[in-house]
Amino acid sequence: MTRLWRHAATFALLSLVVACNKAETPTSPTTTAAATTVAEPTATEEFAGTVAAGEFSFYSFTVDQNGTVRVTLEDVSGRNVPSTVWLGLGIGTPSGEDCATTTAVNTQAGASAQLSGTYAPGIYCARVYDIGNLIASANFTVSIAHP
Amino acid sequence: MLTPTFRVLCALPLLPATAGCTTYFDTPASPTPATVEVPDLSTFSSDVRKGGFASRSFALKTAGEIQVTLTSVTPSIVIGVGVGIPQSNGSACSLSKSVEAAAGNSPQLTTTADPGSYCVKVFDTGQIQESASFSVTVTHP
Amino acid sequence: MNLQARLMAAAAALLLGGCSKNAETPTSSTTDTPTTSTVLYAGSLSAGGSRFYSFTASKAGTATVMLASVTSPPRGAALDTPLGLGIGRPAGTGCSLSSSVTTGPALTAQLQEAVGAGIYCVNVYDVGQVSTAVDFVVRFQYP
Repeated sequence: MTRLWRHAATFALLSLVVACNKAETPTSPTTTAAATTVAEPTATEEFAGTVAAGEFSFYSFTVDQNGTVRVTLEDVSGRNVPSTVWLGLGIGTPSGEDCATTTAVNTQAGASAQLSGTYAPGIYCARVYDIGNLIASANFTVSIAHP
Repeated sequence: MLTPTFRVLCALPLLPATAGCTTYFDTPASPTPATVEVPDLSTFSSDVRKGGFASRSFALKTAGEIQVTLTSVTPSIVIGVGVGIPQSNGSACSLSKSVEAAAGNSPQLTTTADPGSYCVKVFDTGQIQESASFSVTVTHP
Repeated sequence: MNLQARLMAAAAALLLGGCSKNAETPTSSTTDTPTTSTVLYAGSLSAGGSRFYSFTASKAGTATVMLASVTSPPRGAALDTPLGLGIGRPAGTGCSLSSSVTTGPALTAQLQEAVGAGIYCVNVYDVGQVSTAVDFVVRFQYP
């Protein structure tokens, strides 16, 4: 085999490997992840509602930009409902006739946010629900602060 | 002159071009010949007890007209017949349109519908003493 | 260049031409399989009542909404009672409508709306024609 012939054969084999791998192996992405800004709340919505024994209530809100959402169960009242009663409080997305929560706590009413987190732009909901403590309907006020 | 070894090496790079890459050069399948839609015709026969109902589901592949003909009722009484949408659990037929009718040869109920699942329901309107047998014909695309 | 070298170069060129085309120039059009979700939303509506159902569109497309059935419980005879039917976005304790129609039941979609990926809602409400509670079924489809 001549030198030229060996070079040509090597080139052909390399071409085979390189050219066909090109179709199957994606090149590495070259984009660099942009730093995501976490915005502070710019709006506050008050959700005053009623939750009956064994029931739930929810409120939908829109997050306009990636940022912090704070949900506060501020007040609970009602006949046969102690203001210190523990209720469920959650954040999620509207789904069907409910709010599918992704995070939730059992809590008493208070002045500081019982739930907070960073959320991407989109529609979310705050859900208040009985966790088995209610024997009568409870009136409540929830504050939702979001960007 | 080409040596045997050279012939093999020449053929090697041609293989992916003809085999490995052929996926992208597939000959398009021949278009399916147009078919003439013939309306489906189905007959549903059963019994309805006092205060009860009977229903059956059917599917529309294309939008079109549904015709429902109550062809026989025994004993000869007025009975309810309607067309609607089946519940997802298959337990019920929620009516969109219904009429109270005696048996006849022409459709008692006609409506248009989008493609999807539908149902026909025959129900007692208060005239069934014990039970009634019926036959319904449903024509649809 | 002798004959062997020329033949080898031609073979390599053919190889590169054939395979690189796959990676860079799609020749066959890709047809997305239309995937839609269908929901049957059944409930009861009292006089002055309003109910809504939220859903998530996974991509842009058209949502269609059909008020398929309005019946009187418990017998289930069909009613012609017109109801309000709308599509919009969940907001507060309701559904903020972007389009709506007052319609009786039918088996053809009464409402269509272009949607992008995101959360939407379908709203069914009394427009003043419901005196005693009625049962309804809404069938809607979305991308």
